[in-house]
Amino acid sequence: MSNGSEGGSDHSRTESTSAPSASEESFTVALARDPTREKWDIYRGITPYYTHVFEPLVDTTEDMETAPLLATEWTAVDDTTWEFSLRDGVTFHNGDSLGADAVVHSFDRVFEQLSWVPGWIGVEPDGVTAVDDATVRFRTTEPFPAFPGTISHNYFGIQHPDATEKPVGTGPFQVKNVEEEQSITLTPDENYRGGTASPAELTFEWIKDPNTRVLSLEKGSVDIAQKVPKSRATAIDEASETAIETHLTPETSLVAVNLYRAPTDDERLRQALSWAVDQRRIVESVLNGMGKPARGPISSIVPWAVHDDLPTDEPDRDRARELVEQSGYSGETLSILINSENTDDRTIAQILSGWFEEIGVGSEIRQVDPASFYDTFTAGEANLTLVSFGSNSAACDYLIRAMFHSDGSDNRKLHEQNGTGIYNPGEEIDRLIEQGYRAETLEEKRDRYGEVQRRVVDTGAVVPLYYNDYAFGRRASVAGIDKHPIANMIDWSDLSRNQ
Amino acid sequence: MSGQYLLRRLLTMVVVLFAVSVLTYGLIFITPGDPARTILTQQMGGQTPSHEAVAQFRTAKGLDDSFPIQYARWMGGVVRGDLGQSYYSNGAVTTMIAQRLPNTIVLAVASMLVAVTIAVPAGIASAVEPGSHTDYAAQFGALVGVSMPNFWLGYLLIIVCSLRLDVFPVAGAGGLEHLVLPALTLGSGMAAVITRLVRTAMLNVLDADYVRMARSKGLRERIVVYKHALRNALVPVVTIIGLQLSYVLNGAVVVEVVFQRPGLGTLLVDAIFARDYPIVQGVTLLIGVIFVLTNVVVDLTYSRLDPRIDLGGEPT
Repeated sequence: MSNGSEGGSDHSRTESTSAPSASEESFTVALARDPTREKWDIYRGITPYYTHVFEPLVDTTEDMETAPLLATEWTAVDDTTWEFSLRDGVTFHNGDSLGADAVVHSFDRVFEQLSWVPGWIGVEPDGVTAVDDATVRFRTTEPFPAFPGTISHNYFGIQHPDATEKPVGTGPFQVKNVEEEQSITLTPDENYRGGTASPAELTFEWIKDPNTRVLSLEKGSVDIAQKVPKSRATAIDEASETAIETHLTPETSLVAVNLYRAPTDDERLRQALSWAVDQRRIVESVLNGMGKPARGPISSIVPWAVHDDLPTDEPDRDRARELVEQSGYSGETLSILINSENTDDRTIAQILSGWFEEIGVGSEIRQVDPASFYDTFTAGEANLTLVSFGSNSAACDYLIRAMFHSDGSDNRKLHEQNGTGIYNPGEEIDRLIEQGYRAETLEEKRDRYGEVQRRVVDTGAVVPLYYNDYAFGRRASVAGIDKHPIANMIDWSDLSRNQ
Repeated sequence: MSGQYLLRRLLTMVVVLFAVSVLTYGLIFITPGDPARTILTQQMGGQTPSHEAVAQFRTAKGLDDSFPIQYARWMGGVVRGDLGQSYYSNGAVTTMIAQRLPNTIVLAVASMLVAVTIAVPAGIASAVEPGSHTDYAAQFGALVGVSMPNFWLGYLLIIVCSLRLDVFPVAGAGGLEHLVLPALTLGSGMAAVITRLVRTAMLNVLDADYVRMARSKGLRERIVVYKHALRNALVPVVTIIGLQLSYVLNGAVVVEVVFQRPGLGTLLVDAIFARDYPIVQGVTLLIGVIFVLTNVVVDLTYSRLDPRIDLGGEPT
């Protein structure tokens, strides 16, 4: 099997971007997380998100598929062995060429410092070797067709093997300055194989508080602000100085319905709840239109999502009321669990509670802090839980596994304890997920995972809510923010400013 | 004041800090929430970690051990002067605190200066002529100051001083220009509390016999107020300023977030939400030390200001 192909870099850009008018510009991007927070020496004090100082072997495309980046081609030699061919003529920021040793070294460092990485990518620390200077071999602990997609993640950017003070990668930007716990300033690598990036200087500044990020954008002390509150987006977009950029992400927000706790163990009641919900209203009224009404548990941007084949997202409250009457529901109060971190969830839970009331089902909202949330959820303490799932790489397989497989991280605890789980519909679904996971073609994967999506919607294991949009605020004059579905991977090479 | 007194205070301090550390470690240990999952989700940029990764993280950080073992391991490090490493960043807690502490100290001192500069003159003016316009103005100012939440005042100052007047930067740390708005925000709240206290203390003292005596000797009012009354009125004020340190640390959390100043407040809050135990423990211990030391210093200052207060000696 070969997923890669020879050819030019998909990150190539025209030389014209280095025209003087554009290249004299400096830009500042306000991030919600500290870009200098990681102290691992693999990344030498910068966080591998956003900056494009490092590049992984495999890229995640705008269609959420894998594509060649530092590797031009990868082949499954056998069930558990992958060989990656490195791109010719790639140089680090210090001028050295990229070779297989640098790749092996980078992975070794990740394994050394982050003990949990083997459990994530299914490769033991001694599982990465150089075949020759241009070929690297990975040995997975079990057959893992989604391996290339899994390492198309910012974590696996390739570092220069020599430990220097500054991070040295192969990406379009190189590090100029790091202000601990404040900012990182980058300059373009003029020798980058795809041409020099437009911004003469690009600074990532950490502004944790969303209101302060917006105020900084309004003042113009930053050009772009990540994660602006959706409630403020309309005002930002309508102001003459600022604008909003949104893009659909691979993240879905949904209600996980506890199949093993009364009264939501009754399928008719679950279906009734589903018919009571108006996804469009949620997107319009709570999210200010930023998001897409969901029909299934997997965002429509994921290649194997079957969004269009699933039932409509229109509510039918009469039908819902009938279903409630047919069910064994006898007036118990349902518990709705939410994460206190997400203010949108609080509003949505209140709206849902109102709709459930309309069909004769009472509910109460329980809010817990972010760190306790997942424990409370996986202990099955609520009937309904508002959860969000997203991927940061092209391999989204683990999403469907985590959610609906009996051994998936959401269900495992209760499944091991008392044979239930939370919202795993049973063995047949487990089998479909395993088949999809092992599938070698997208068609086969879509076939198996599609069936899983249909069944969890039919049986009311989830009430899909919306596929999430990320929202960036920008100064109106700033152009050229690329629309990558994963915000952590947005490419800044073509930023420019209209005078 | 005797050396014995200091020794006794230091011993008490050790006991108090030990109790504080057991209590915080115990509380955070029984609070639901898995550090492994929370931290991995953050590290992976929001992606849900796999069960296998979570299990490996727990083993690596010793999170599967019992409370006594985890606590003893941590305590063993502390005794050797090692506060451990952050679960999230692998950075040494001592270094992380050392990097943040100066920012918080500078903010605390600056806001205390703002507070005292506003409060002492306002309190005195208000006490010297009770019922006057000045008095009402000062009291009204104090009421407004106490009632305004820090985050609200912070945003207000940003909107007025940064956006409209363009005098100060919106956020960040570094130069003096970054300090003014945070110090004003935090200081004005404290100023309100201190103004009220200075006023009450001055009113009490101005009514005392020795002040009346001083007046009756024909001393000028200025000398009576500033030389005779103020010194005695300062005793409770010093206490409250010492105790306001807790307010500074509480307020610093909000102010540091609003103005994006890396400090102890934000470090602690982030660590609590991520269940990053070593940082929570390290910062709590440091705050404990600061509190106990402040109390000692306040007690020492008492006796300097008012010789009638005798520390550690036999009752007279």
